[in-house]
Amino acid sequence: MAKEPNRVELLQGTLDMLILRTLLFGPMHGHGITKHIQRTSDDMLRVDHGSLYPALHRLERQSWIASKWQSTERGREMKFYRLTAAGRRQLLVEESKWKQLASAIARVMRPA
Amino acid sequence: MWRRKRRNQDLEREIRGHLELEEEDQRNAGVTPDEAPYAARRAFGNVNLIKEVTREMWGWTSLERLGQDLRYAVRMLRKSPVFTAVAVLSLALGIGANTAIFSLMNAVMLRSLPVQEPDRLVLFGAGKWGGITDDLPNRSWQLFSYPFYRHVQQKNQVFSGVAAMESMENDVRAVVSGNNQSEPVSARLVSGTYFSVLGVNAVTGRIFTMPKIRRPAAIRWR
Repeated sequence: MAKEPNRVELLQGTLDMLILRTLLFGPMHGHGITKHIQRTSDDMLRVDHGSLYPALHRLERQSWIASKWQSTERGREMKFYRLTAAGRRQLLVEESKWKQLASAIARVMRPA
Repeated sequence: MWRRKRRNQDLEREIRGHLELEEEDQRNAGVTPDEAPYAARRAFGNVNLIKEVTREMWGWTSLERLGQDLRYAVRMLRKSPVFTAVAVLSLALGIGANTAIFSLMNAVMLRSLPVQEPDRLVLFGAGKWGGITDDLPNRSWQLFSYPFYRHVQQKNQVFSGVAAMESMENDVRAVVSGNNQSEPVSARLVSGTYFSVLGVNAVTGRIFTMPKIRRPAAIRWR
């Protein structure tokens, strides 16, 4: 897949967090999750489908998300994923890990 | 397996739905209806690869791979029957020889005697000679006379009990109660302390103890 130069690759391990965060707004299907992440990142982040579906199924196996077939507003049957209680807790864990990582990188790049 | 099939269909449906939505997006973005399916597929990536990686998340892949390997092995073995025959034969011989050796070792060394405390049992002599004391095969301590046994048994301060058995086995015929016909049995004279020292009981009948030595009894043991 050719990538536009102004797009950045997702950091390893951040996709789970982004998926959980996206599902915080309500149940969503895989396509919607992709679009949401792309839109909210002003098209900077592109979710690779090769990692999205494995990630979704992995998260489901860990019971952080649950899935259900549901109709969209336009009547199409799609598999919707929803955040579980354990998923909410996991989101907090990942978020704090991310913050630590980001601040650590910032300190390295711009020592006080 | 049935559940797995359903999950595969589920994944198939999930990805198809995704592609359809993507197609719509492409059309809305101005791609011609003919081109839209291809554009959607291009945007999605390698469908089969993605399915494969997703399936790995279910955690059954190792089992599935084992099945594939086994099927492959059977196919390859079928292709070269001579090699297979030789391999199977050498394996069979190897396993057979090992089993034989182990059964022997098990019987001789590992399996303990069917008595109460086999580890406290001591055998005087080699236990393989039969005959009378005056006729020692190699003049060594192999056979002991009954008076000698009585002496050891009465003066014994080391063992918790001493028992003796006749060195020769007698093949006799006996009628086991309930049967009309006599059958060949192995009989052996043993000392009155025999059962108490070994700590074993008879399968049927009664066993004798020291004081009852004067009353002859036939018992069935084993």
